[in-house]
Amino acid sequence: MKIRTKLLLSAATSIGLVIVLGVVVFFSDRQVDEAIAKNQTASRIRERVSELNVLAAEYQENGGERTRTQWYLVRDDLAVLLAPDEFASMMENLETLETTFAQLVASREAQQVNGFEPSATHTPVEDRLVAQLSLRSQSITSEAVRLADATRADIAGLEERTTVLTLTFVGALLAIVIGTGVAVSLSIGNPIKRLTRAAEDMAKGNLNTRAESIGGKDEIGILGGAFNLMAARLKETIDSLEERVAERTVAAEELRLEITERKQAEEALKESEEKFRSMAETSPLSIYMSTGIEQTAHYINPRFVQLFGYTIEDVPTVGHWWPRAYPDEKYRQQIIDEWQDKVKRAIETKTPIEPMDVTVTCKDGSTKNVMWGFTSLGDTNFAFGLDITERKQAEEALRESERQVRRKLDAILSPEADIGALELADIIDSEKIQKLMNELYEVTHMGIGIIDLHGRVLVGTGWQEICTKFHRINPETCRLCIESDLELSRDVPVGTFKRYRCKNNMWDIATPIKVGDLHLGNIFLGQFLFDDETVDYETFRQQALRYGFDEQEYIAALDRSSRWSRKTVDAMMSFDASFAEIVGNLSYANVKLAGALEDRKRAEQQLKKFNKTLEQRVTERTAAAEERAQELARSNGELDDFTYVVSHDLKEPLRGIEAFSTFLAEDYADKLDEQGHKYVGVLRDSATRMNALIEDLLVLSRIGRTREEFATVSVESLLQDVRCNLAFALEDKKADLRIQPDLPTITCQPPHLKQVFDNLISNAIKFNDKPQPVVEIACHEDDGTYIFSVRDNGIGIDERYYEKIFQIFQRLGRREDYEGTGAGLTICKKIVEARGGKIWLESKVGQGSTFLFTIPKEVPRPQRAKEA
Amino acid sequence: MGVQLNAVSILLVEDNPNDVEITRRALEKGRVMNELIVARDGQEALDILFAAANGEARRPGLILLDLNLPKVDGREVLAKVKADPKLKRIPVVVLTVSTREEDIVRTYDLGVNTFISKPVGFEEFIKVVMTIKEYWLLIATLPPVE
Repeated sequence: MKIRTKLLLSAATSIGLVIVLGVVVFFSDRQVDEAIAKNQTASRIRERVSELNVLAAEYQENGGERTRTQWYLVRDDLAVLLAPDEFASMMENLETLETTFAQLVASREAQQVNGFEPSATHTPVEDRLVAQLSLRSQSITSEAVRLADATRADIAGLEERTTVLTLTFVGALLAIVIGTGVAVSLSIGNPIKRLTRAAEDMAKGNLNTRAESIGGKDEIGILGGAFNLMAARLKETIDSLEERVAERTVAAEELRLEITERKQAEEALKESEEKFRSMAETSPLSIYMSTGIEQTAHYINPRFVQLFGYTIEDVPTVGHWWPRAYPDEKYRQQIIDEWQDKVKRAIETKTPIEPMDVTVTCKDGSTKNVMWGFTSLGDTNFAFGLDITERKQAEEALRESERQVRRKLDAILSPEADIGALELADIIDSEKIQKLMNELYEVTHMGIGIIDLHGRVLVGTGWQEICTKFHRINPETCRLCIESDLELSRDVPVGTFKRYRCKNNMWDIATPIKVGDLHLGNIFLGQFLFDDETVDYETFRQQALRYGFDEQEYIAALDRSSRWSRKTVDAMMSFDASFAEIVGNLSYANVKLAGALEDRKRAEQQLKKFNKTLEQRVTERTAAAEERAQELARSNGELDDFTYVVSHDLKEPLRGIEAFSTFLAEDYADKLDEQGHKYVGVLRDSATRMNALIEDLLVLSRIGRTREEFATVSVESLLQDVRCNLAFALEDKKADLRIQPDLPTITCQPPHLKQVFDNLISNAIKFNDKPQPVVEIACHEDDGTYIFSVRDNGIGIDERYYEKIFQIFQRLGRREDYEGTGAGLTICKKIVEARGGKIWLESKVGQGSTFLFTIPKEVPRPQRAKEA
Repeated sequence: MGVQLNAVSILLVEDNPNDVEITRRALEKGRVMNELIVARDGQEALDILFAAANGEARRPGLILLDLNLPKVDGREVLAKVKADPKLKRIPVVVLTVSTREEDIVRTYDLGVNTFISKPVGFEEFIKVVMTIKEYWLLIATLPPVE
């Protein structure tokens, strides 16, 4: 709140208070005035009433018109005074007074009318009336007196109140004046004092000082806030100023350091430049220092000039370099594209380029293989060239040699490959033959050469000077030599030789080297003259002239060339021809052998591959077969489940038939005749039989469904159990059950095996017409399998039925003759087969039967025995 | 018969009316005179048994239970009876056509007292009833009926 508002508010409060007090005093005064007026009225009323009394007494005494009139006048006056409502009771009394007076008047006048002289005698009536008048008057007077008393008390009270009010008013006025002063001093004076103190404090340099406790919202409060803000700003400014000064100081120090460092760096740079210069001057690399993408040269090192022959004047920019270094336009364009692309990137990214191999044409026309590198440092580009000509040549030579070896290898190792791809050099061992021939030459002084069809000399000894110095040197005579070689190499049968006078007029003799049917080269004995012929020097002189040989030297060389007798030459050539034949045959045999070896290797690999495929196929087939077997087992299992469920469902109505036919026989025995009883019997028998069939089906299905535990049991003890089971039947038929001793102990599902023996023995007894049936049980072992046999001396079975009897519910005998369902053998078959065995029989009608079945020692895989 | 039979009622749980008739008759033939209550499905059997457990009806002293039943299966009835503290002492004889090993093992696991395959022949059935009678109604001391 602002100070002005505060002052206005306190003034308004004071004025309001004064007005209220004034109004109160004013109204108190008015009440006093009213009370005084009422008091005066009361006095006047009393005066008038006494006047009326006086006049009434006078009228009674004296009568008289004037007195009466006066009385009424005073009465009127009094009536005016008593007009206000508050005097109503006095007014009533006045009215009674008037009535009484009127009666008095009337009494007076009546006396006059009757002739009576008004006398001083008072009639009693008149006296009573006067008394009444007096009484009424007194009553008014007493009321007036009461009024006057009351007003007087009022006045006293009011005056006292007015005095109190006035005092209060003055007090209040004083209090407001003092209060406002104090408040103003408190809300303005104190903060200002604090502000002043803070300002003084700040003037002393204490920037952290703040005007405390000036939180008000008036001008002082705002002033305080502003002061504090100003102080804070001031502090901030000074702080930041100090900080900046500190920073400047640091910056100045850094600048000084930087200047020092820069100086050092400049010195280092100078030093490094000098080092670089000396390094560049002696570098084995060609260096081309330049600026910008146009690569304007400012330094080329001596190696560059030495390698290419170009100076900085020849190639001031890369633009001058290109046409000279790469004269072929197409090649140049290709190089420029790649180079400029790499250089641009190198300058942008300040990274070296991937080196580039090029062929540079030097100033003298020779070519050099150069590997170029490039890097950009600052504004300077460095192009470094490394001469790799020798390396390239070495590489090329190596590649060529590799190609040869590869070809040789390929030719030898691929039997189908055309032997025509073979070179003579690939087959013969030139080095060894050379050594051999050198030794021959030592003995005979007759040199030979082995030359392939391209004219390449693979082996050579005893070269004649005339050849090495003249004929093979001059291109024209050399051509003639090769022509002779080719001429000689044509159509010479193996083992024979051909003599030929070459176009340089010397003798050449050759015999071919053939590998297989292929002519790959020749053995030469060449450039000689026979000892019996005359040398035609003229011709040779002409040759010397024609080919620009030094005649003297040429003739001297001719004279030094060999002169052999025809016999020697023939003997030598025979030797060479045989040698060539042997070399050819041996080489061919080698090639063939290598081929054969390779063939065999291949065949072996093929065989291995084939075996592998076969194995894989077998595995696949086995897997497929196994899968099929599993599927079959599954499907059999499903069939077993089905049989089981159906059998059970069939039993339920069957039980009804059986039971209710029994009830029928029992409850209606007397109502059925003999035929009826017979029918009911048939019904019950049928039900019983059907039950037997179903039971067999259940047994059959259970073989596949239930997982009887495998166990290792002695067949002997198992058969003892069977014997017990069948004791009754055996006894009944007087049968003799003979069990072979030392029966094996086998792994099986005992209840199943027991069932097999039970069924077979039962059948053996059942289908037996002998007085003493004999059943023999035996076992022998064969190739991992036990073969059990149950032999009887019964009725025997025709071979036709060997298969049929194993089918379910197939019976051979009549039902009346032999009881049973015909499922027994089917059950046996199923059990034996589930165990991985077979069952069959040997029998002749009338000669008994032998049932045989096998049990493999090995437990079938899907249901291996549990470890006991 | 002069032998005092345990005077308990027998609850037969069997859906096939023929079998009910056969059983009733077999019981008669075997002179089993105990009161026979018949439940035609598993739910009805459970209703009767739990009413008895809550004291709203007399508790049967023996249950003859078929396994394959409509609504609530016989195995479930068996499981519930054997899980209930007030019913679990009632002997339960399973009478069923099933000869499946799984069924036999399972019902014994559930706490059945006897498992009997229903024979097809009535005469044999009477023999079965006699066996039940001799064992459960004459020999065995049945738990007291509340």
